[in-house]
Amino acid sequence: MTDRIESYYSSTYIPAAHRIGQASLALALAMSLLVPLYLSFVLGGWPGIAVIWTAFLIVASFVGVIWLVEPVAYFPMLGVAGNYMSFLSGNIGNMRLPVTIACQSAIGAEPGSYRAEVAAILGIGVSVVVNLVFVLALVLAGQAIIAAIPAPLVGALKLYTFPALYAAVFMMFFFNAKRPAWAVIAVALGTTVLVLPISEVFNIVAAGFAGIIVSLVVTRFAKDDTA
Amino acid sequence: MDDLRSIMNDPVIWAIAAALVALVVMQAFLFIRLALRFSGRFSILSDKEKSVVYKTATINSIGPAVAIFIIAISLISIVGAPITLMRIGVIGSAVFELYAAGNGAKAAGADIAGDMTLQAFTAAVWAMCLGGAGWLVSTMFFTWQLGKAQGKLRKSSPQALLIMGAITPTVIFFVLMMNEILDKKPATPLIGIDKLAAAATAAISMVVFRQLGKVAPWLKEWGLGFSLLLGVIAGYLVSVYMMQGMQE
Repeated sequence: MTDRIESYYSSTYIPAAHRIGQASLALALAMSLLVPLYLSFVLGGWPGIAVIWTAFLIVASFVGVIWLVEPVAYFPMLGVAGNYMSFLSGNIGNMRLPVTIACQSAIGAEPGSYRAEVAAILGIGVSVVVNLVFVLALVLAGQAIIAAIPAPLVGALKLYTFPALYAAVFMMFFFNAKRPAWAVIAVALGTTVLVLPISEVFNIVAAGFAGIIVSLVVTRFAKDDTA
Repeated sequence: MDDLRSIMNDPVIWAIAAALVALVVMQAFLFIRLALRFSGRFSILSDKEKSVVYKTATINSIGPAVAIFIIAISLISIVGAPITLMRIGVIGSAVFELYAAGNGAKAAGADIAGDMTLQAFTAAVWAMCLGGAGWLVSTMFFTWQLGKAQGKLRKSSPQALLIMGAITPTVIFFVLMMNEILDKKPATPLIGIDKLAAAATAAISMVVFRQLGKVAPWLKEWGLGFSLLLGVIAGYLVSVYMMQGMQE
């Protein structure tokens, strides 16, 4: 039975996930460039290649490293399908990951298991739809909705949602670790990253990378309890 | 500027934005179908577990979606509704898009918040779309490679995946949390005490709900959402208290 799952997973499921993912991302890439192309060449807004190049360099100097490392840093939690889904729909740290861990933890799925994989896909899929409902409401009636909510509430939601979310999700991961020592190692590692002179933009991906590397080191010394 | 506003709402741009949203929904549908087939074939998740996952995902998406909504609203007045739809619903995050748009306009010698020419606006849109493209390209490239590496690890050392799945997210969310609390430029002159209160309350609530979830399973689905709400309330109360303290 286990053999059959493994062979189906690696020879049918994963290749299908790559096909869907690669095709949808390639299509999204082409479609997203249609808008600036339309503005430039149909409506006559072409600002010149020098301007676009300058703009690209400014953006790339800010996020270029993040482009390269983020898909790697989030992969251990998201998996193949989860990576394709999350990077197409965006808002990974503030929405996809919290939803993923909440779903996996609600059914008691261990990280890296098939149960965790299926729960992540179903959870991210639902969160994509919920987010789109909100974004549609935003573009159709955003100003009216904001005007209807009391200003202090808007301010509080804006300021405190993310510190509260990250803290709660942190606790969830902390207590979900199968061995408390792993969670303690993670906090020590996080503290190290915070103490090092790395800007806020980069310290999150630095944390992800450090996490992956230290995990591999810990694996070498840990007793095997997957059996 | 009026001309620009009508260009921002050009029907062709609306159509492309709608097509991108359709693509995201389609992709989610295809992946869900793939996962359900896999699950059905080997009985990975029971029907009950699937409904727990759907419910948990819905509840826990709402809090972040509301906050994203509030941040994204400033983007509408700058780049218009359809481009906001395609940049926030797909690929992007509000903070990055604002940054990219601002610098695109600046490269064309304009201020994103002021009067913009069509050229400056087009430059802003190029900056956002090329910026987003970076993530798409690297995700396409790396997920392929990482999938192979994961397949090998699954065979040679499943323990490594378990440890990685425990340590990596704990480090990431610890740093995300501390970045918020240690905010170098707090929105209010409170040295982040309000944010600390929000984070601490949410963290403690999460632990309490987690324990309670062992006797009341429905709390497993609601715990994160409730913790979030309690954290926001705590942050707000502390900020009101601090403001009063400062006025006296």
